[in-house]
Amino acid sequence: MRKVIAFLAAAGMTLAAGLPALAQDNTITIWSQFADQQPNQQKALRQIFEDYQAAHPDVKLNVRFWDKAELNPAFQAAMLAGGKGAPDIVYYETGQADWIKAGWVDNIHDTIDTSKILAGYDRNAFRDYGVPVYLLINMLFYNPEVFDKLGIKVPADNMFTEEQFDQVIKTCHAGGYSGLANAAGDRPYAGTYIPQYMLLSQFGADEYHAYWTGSKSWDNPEIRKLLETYIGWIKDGLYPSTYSSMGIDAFHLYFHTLQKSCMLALGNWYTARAFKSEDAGGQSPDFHFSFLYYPEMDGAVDPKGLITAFAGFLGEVSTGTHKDIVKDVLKFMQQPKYGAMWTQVTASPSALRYTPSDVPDSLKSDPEIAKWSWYWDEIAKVYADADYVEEQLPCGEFQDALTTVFNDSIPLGTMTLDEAIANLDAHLCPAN
Amino acid sequence: MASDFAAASLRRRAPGQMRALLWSRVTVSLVFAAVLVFTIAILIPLAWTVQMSFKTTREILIDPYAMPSQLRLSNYAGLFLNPSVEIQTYFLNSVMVTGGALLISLLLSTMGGYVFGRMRFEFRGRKVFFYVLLFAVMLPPQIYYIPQYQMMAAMGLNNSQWSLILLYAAHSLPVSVYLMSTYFSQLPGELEDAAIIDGCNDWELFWQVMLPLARPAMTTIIILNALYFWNELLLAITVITDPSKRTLPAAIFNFIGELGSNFGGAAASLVVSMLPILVLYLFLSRRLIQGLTAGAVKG
Amino acid sequence: MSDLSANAPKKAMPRHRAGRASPLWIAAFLVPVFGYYLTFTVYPLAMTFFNTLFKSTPEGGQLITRFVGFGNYQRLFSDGIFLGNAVPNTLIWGLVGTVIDVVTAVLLALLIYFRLPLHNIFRVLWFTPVLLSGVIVGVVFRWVFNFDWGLLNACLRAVHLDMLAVDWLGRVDTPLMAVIAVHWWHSFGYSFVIVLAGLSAIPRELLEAAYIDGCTRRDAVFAIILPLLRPTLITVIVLSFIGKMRAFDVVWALTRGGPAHHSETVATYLQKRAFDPLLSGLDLGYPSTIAVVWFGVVVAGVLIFNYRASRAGMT
Repeated sequence: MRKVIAFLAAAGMTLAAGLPALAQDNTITIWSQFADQQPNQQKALRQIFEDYQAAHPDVKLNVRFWDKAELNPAFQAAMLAGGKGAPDIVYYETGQADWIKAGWVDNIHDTIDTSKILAGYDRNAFRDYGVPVYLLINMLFYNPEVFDKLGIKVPADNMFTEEQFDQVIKTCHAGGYSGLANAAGDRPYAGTYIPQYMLLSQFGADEYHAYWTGSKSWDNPEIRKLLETYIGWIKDGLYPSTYSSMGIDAFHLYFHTLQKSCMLALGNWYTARAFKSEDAGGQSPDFHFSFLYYPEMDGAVDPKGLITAFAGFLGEVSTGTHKDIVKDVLKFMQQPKYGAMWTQVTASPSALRYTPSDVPDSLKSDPEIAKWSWYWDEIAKVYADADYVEEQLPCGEFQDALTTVFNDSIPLGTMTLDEAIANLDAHLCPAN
Repeated sequence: MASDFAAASLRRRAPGQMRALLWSRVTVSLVFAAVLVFTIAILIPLAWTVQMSFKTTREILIDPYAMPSQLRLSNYAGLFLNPSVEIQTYFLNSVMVTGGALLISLLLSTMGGYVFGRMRFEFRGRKVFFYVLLFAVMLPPQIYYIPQYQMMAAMGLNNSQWSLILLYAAHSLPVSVYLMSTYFSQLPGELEDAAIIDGCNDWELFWQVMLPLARPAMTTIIILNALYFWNELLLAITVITDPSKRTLPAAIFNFIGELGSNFGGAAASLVVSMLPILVLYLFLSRRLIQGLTAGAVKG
Repeated sequence: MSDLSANAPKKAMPRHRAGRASPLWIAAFLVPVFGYYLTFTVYPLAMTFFNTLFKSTPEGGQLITRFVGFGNYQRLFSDGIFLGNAVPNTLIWGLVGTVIDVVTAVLLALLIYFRLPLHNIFRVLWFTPVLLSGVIVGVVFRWVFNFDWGLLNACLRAVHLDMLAVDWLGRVDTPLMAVIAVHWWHSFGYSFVIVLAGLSAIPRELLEAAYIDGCTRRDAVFAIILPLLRPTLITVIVLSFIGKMRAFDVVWALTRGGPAHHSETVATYLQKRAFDPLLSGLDLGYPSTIAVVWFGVVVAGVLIFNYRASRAGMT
């Protein structure tokens, strides 16, 4: 027993090393998303920060990569403690509007140069508060080999009508495939793509926003008809039987490696998980999927709408002490060459404007990047005439209701149409 | 001693009861078989996880049950050679935090147990103090995380292992004091008499008489608390955000992260995380039962 | 919890020559423990209670905290998710789970006590799930319950029980069952060890004497062992119950309280109200209120149980 206690005492005493060191001058702490399993994004960001440090030898940029689910509570805890332990630059997404309202992220109007950022950012709610990292586009992927095998022909404009789409689902199901690979095992949005796009297609951007942001009641005949169609699709085999237990990685594999589904509804961040080594769960570069527009509803107002969002921002934390350096870093990040570099390295579109001449030569000839060039060609081919609609997020309670209804219940058949509408209407957002 | 199941009382039974004895043997075999199946069923998830740690993530997602085509150590290598933070660092942090917290916890809980468990410390209101100490165990722990984090930040200790040490020890106090006090209360009442007559003061009494006797209960507390400190997750990721200072559960959580769950790596980190506790348990398990047996938890 | 005075000598004893300790010494031992506890536990708890009277809202670049009196409590008592999902689920789990937990713990402990062949090995093996981190347990069992290729359904299908191979984590009624089962798997070893300890304190001579008198083992269990085990059983029941009232890691990793709040427990709901970007609004007052109210419920439950138990003469 004495030995045990002595050991413990020794362990305790080595903690002298654990006392926190004083913050060095000119060290900027950056908290970013893209934890270990998104190596390309990390590589791209590290490149930017290394370049900055090379240009400014007296500054040290200390970047930590997090999982979003950990970053948010940690940042919240730090800010609630008055900023102790908070970083100087933080990554956040559109779901963190509360941070801005609470004054935790500064207004850096002058630092953001909208001429360097893609069109539309000057109207964005986050325009003054952060540099956008990439452009999110919600797309519909499909597996051409499976389509061929089942004899499904894709129309010339890459868009099925309602009835055709239903037929596609039935054909897939009969062939032993699921319509989509989407599954809600560990994500709250997998089941929301189709309903969102049905609304957009049928009603156009304004009405779609009104419904989806919880500003309008869902209890009317048009919505009922739309949802009944959707429920019909589900019954015909839209979602996989493992919808409730497949996690995000599993359903990626379901689509690109196991190839058990016809289609996949997902954002373009698909490449973050799929364009990596197969041993780590990525796809083969030879699997050339393609894209579709979401199904065109009868009497559609906006059939070729594509929901986009400026996703992910890096902003200045209000409790930081080196704000001039922070602003400098954020300005530095807005150079076109970094937009080009980000897009090439991560295979997801940067939010920055750039031209082909901005692409560094080293990347032009990089085989790791070249093997995915077919992906960009497909997007350009299919979505050439897309109408980009910017996403708007509702208040928290309504978004939770959307998750409950569309992600957790309707695909599993555990909620009737009336219950769904009642649930949504019970959580509408208060008018702002 | 021969097993009860072997009916040591065989000798004392009348010969006519041999048939009953045979039936008893059959029952034993059936019960044993059931228990064996039960135990195997209980352990299958663990075996499966160990098997997974030798496969790549892709292999796992394609067929979770297939025996690995080759015993890859790549997951383990990935853990130990990860450039951002290697698992040895997390491991050492866990050891530091667990060790430090155990020290404080042992000290305070034995002192507390002594005060609450021995007759000679009886005073009016002692029971009130005792229940006040215990009531915190009923609260869901998340809720005092934020005020505790704010405290640690105010003390300048966030991002230091000390914050976890202090808070873990605090969290463990109610149950540890309870166990120690129960244990002390069951030691004979005359224990102190001889020592006091000889002129010992309470401090010497505590260190030289009480503590040595308390070894079984201390063992219990060590292992129960070590288990809790080693596996604690929420506070560990809230209070410490610097990866080089984090504990092992944070490493596991990292692998089962937001993007790209590395199942092979997660399984490997699970195995690595389990081993120290398992070893500690195997080493101390006899003492543990002894300690519990000696009445530490008789109620 | 046992009453301390139960351990006091019941018959008149010769006066302890040592007598009572001086107040100075009482303080010397009490103050460090209590001081530490007050600083690191009671003070944050008090802050939590205090926080329930306020609500924070982010607006106009500031986090504004307003006094709302009992407003948070009012809100809680009309909270559909809390009253409709979290509380019933947690209570069901607390009652059903505790019964299952204690019954298996007693059965297993008896088997070890009666020295089943290989009991030494079983004793060690049954404790191993307890050693694991709750997060890992949740994730591994998420795979076990997978509808398509999960371990459970694979076994059920292998024995032609296909209609039982359901979508465990997707339906309305089964996620809670899954939570209860997984948590039981994780923690039955804990209760088992405690009961075993209590059993070990029962002298074997009592049993031997009973056997000589012709008692069967079954009678011995019910007539001798269980009554003597009562104090331990009380402890185990209380600890098991409290554990389920506050358990978090396993549920969070297994279902996150989903789908659609069907396996929501008070602990997961609290976490969401404190940290989830959709449900927290950066407000600490409301989750503090949930914690305070729940704490009251748990305390009441334990006190009632203790009262009934002591009335039945079990302590």
